[in-house]
Amino acid sequence: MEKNQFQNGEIDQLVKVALESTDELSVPYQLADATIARLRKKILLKEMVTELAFKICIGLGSLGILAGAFILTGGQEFMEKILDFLRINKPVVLLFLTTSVVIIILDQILIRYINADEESASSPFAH
Amino acid sequence: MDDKTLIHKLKSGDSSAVRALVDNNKNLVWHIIISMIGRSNDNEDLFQEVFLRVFKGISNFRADARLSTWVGSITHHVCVDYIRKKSRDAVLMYGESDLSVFQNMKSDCKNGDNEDINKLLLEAISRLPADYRTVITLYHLDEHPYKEIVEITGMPEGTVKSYISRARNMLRELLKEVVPDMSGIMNEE
Repeated sequence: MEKNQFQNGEIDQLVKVALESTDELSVPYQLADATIARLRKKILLKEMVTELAFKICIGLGSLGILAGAFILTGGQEFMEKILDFLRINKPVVLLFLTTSVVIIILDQILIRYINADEESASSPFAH
Repeated sequence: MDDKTLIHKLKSGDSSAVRALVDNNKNLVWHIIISMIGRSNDNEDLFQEVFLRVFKGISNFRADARLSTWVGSITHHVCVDYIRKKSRDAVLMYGESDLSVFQNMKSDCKNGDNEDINKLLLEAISRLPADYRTVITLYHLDEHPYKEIVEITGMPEGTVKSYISRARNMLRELLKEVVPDMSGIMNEE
């Protein structure tokens, strides 16, 4: 029995040495670094989207609080004027809102994301 | 960095933990991919896909197993998905293993020195079905215990033990024919 186990040990050792001797089982150069860069970009994108969502929530929340305060303090007339103005100038308001959203996304996410991409591309670990 | 700290950092989105995650597990992931798929142009994409899935799933990881075992299990799933998608190697993967693959191999080993033995063994292992190759690589090269190989591959423990035992016996028979005096080789190692 002992002899048989020893023989198993010998076979195991030979297989281990053989497997270690081949380059095929070595991770290709820079693959790990390229993977790390890709994962970091994913984390960055997630952070930026969360941050933007947080800022939008704060902005909308502040507007809501202001509107609520106007209504509670008897500012319905003023609110109606604002709503009328928005109704009359609907196309201009929509264009303004769309442009603002595009600029915010460009500024807060895309430009930062592209800059991060360039930084990782110029790093010595770049793929 | 231990598993607990690493998992905590990854869950909180700490990008410095990403390097530790990849560095600690890159060999295991690559070994499973090569064992299951073989050399292919898709190897590197699969490698990245594994880590993206690990990162995506880390928030649901409950640390019941070691992190490396979980990463290995994801790698196994990614490879199985790939094989299914490509409809390739399915018979070798799930069918009855034909272990007569070593026939006519002894002529490849002419001198019986260590380099030849390595080549012979690698050739023999490469001719084995994918599930055998995976188990052998995990057991011999990455030195995972049976329990972890079971968790990684999803195979029953009896099957894992049987694969290792049968592969050992086949390799032993093959070597016996090529190198009658095995003790000589072991002393050279």
